[in-house]
Amino acid sequence: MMAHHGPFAAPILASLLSEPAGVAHYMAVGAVLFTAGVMSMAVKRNLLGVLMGVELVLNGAIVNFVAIGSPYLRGDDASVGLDGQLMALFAIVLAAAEAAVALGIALNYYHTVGSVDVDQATQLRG
Amino acid sequence: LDESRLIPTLVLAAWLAPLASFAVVAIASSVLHRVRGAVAPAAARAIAQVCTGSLATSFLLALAALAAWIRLAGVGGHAATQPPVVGEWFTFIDVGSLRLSAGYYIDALTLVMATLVTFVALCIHVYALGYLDDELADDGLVTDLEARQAGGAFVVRPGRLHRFYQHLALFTFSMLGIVVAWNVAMTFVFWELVGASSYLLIGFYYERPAAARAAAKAMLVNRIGDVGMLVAIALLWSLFGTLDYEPLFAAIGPWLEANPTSAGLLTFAGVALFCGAIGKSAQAPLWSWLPDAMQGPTPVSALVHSATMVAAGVFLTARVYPLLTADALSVVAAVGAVTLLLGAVLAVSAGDLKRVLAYSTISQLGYMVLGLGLGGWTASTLHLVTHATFKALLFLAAGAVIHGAHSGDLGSLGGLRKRMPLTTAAMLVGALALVGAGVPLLGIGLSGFYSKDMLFEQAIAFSRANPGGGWAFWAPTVGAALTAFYITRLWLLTFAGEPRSDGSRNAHESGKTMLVPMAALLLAAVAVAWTLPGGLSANALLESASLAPASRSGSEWFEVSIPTEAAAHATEIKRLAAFVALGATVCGFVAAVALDRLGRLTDPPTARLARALDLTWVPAVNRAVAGACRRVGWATSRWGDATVIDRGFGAFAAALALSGGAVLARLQTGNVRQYIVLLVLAVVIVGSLALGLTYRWAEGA
Repeated sequence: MMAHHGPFAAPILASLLSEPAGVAHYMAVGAVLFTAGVMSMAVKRNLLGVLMGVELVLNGAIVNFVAIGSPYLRGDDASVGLDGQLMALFAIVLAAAEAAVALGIALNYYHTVGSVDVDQATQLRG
Repeated sequence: LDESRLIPTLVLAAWLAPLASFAVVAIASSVLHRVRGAVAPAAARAIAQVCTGSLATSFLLALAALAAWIRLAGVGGHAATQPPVVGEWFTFIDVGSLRLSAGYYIDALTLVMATLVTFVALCIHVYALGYLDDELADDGLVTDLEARQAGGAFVVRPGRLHRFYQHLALFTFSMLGIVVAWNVAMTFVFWELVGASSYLLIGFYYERPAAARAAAKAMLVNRIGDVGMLVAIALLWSLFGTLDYEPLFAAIGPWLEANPTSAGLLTFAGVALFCGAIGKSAQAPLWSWLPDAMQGPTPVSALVHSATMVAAGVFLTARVYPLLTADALSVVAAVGAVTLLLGAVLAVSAGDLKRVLAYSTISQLGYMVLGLGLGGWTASTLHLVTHATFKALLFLAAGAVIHGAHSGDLGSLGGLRKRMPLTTAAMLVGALALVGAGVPLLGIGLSGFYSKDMLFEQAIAFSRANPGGGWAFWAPTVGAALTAFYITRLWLLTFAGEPRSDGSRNAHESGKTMLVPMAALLLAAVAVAWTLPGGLSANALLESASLAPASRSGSEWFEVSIPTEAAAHATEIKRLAAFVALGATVCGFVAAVALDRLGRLTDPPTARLARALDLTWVPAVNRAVAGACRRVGWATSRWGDATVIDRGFGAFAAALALSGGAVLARLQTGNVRQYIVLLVLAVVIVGSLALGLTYRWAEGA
C-alpha cells in the first residue's frame, strides 16, 4: 500500500501509466489542453494567439465532456452515453459562433489600434 | 337578533350615516348646476337638508343603540357593571404581532357620547340653516364685510353653505369614530380627522386673515400634543404588544405586579397620552388656539369648539383611565387646576361675547380634567355631558345675539332683553346651568348642578385623603366664584341696561330654524342629569361604565392616594360640597351685580391684569418658546447638520470613497493578459477552496 499523499492526486497519478486508457487519461489530455490555452491567453501578445488560446480552453472542456459521458471509458452501461457527446456538439457550435464574434472584435481592434498587440489596449486603465 | 349583535350594528349605521352624507355632498357639489361659480341657493339648501336628515337618522340610531344597551344592562341605581361589547370590523395591517384594525369598544360611555354628539350636531345642523342664511343670496354671491381684497374692496365670493355641511358631516363622522374606537391607533386616526375637519371649519371664512391664521394655529398647536400621543402609542405597544383597549386594561394589573419597579414607565406613557388631551382639550399650556378658533362660524364654535371636539381630550383620558397611574393622575389634576383658574380669570375680562364663552369652555374643561385627576371618573364624564348641552345652548344664544345685533362686542351690546326675549331666556337658563344653580337641600337643580356638585365632592374627598391636597379644593372653589362672576357679567352686559350701539337698538329676534334647536338644547341643559322614574339617569348609566379601578397603585413620586368615588359620596361630604359650591357661586354673583351698580362691569378691576395676561404675557411666553425652538432648530441645522453631519461625516465618507477608489483603481491596469492571469488565479483559489470544503464535508458526513 502506498503512502497517503493527499485526498485525490497521488494514487490516481501514480497508476496513470500502468492502467489501460480510461477516463483519467482523457481528463489529463483535457487538463493539458486547458492549461496550454490559459497559458497562451496569458502570455501571447498577439490577439490571434489569445483567440487560439480561448479555442484550446474550450477544446479541453469538450474533451472532458466526452470522456466523462462515455460509457465505454467508464466501463458501465448504465446510460445510453450520448449526454457528453451532445454537450460537446453544443459547445463546438457555440465555439464556432464565439470565434466569429471574436474575429469581428479582432478586426475592429486592428482598425482602431492599428496593431494586434493586446498590450496596446489600455484605454480602460483606471 | 340579540343585543350584543344589534348594538354594534346600530352604532355602525349611526357612525357611517354622516360619512355617507359627506360623500354625497362631495359628489353632488361637483356636478350641481352653478350660477356664476356658486351652487344655486335652492341646491345648497337641498344639500343642507339632506345632511340634516342623515344626521337625524344617525341620532335616532344612536338613541336606539342606547335603548338596546339599557335593556341589556338593566340600569337602575347601582346596577351591576356590564362588560363592554367589543369586536372587530376590518383589519388594515396584520404583520407579526402588530395588528391594526377598526373595531368597536361599546360601553355606556360610548353610547352616551354617541347620543350626545349626534344630538348636539343635529341641533347645530338645523340652527346653521338659519344662521348662515346669508350664504344663500339669490345671485349666489356673498360680500364678506370682514375680508378685503388687495385694493381695499370687500371680498365678494360664491356662497358655500354646501361646503359647511360637508365639513360638518366629516366632523361628526370623525368624532363618532373616536367614540367607538376600540384601540389607541384607531382613536389616533380619528383624532387627527377631527383635527382636520376642525381646521376646515375654523377656516370657513378663509378670506379673512384672522380666520386663516386661527385655523393654522389650531392645527399647529394640536400637533405638539399629538407628538406626545404618538410616543405613548409606541411605548404602549412595546410594553404590552397590543393597542386594543380591552387586552390593555386586562394586562395592566399583572404587568405592574411583574414589574413593580417600572411603574414610572407606565406613568410616562400615561402622561404622554394625556399630552394629546392637553392639545385637543385646550389645557394649559396649549390653550391659546381655542379662543382664536372663535373666528369660525358660531354654530361651529358651539359644536366643535365647546360641546364635542374639545371634550375629546377628556373622553380620551376617561377611556384610557385604567392605564393612568396615581402619579399620572396627579399631573392630570395639576394641569386641570391650573387651566380652570386660568380660563376663569381670562373669561372675567374678555371683551367679546364668544371669547368669554371660549375661555369659559377652557375653564370647564379644566374642571373635567381636574375631576379625572382626582379620581372622579363619573363626575367628569357627567360634567362632559351636561357641559356639552349648556355650553352649546350658550353659544347658540350668543350666535343669535351676533346674528340679530351684528356684533359680539360686549361694550356695544346691552338692553337686548326687550328686543330678543327668547334668546335672553335661553342665555339665562344656559348661564344658570353653567353655574350649577339648584336647591342643595332638595337635591334638585339644572344639569350643571349635579355634575358640579359631584366634582366638588371628589375634590373634598381628595383634599381630605391627602395632606397638602388643599389646592384641589381651593382651585374649583375660586373657579366657581369666577364662573358666576363672568357669566353674570356676560348676561348683564348683553341683555340688561340700555343699548350701547345702533346695532343693539335695532336687534331682532331670530327665526324659527334657530329658535327650535335652542329650545331642544334648553330642555337638555335643564334636564339631562335628572333621574327618570325607575332610576334611569345619565349619572347611573355612566357609573355603570366607570373604568376607575377599586384601588390604584403606582404612586412613586407624589405619594398621593386617589379616593374612590364611593368614598366621595358620603353624606357629610355631599352636604359640604353643595354648600361650598353654592356659596362660591353667590359670592361671584354678588360681586358682579355690585360692580354693575358701580358701572364698572365692562372694565372690571382685574381687567388690566387679565388683559395683560391675555394679550401680552401669554403671547410673549409663546413667542419666547417659539423663539427658543427656532434657536434650537437653527443651532441643530447650523452646527449639527452643516458642521458635524455635512462637513464631518459627509466629508469623511467622501474622502474614504475617493481614496479607496484611488487604491482600487491601480488594479485596473488595462493589461488584458494580467486580467487573465488574475482571473485564472481566482478560479483556481476559489475552486480549490470549494473542492476542499466539499471534501471535508463529505468525509465528515
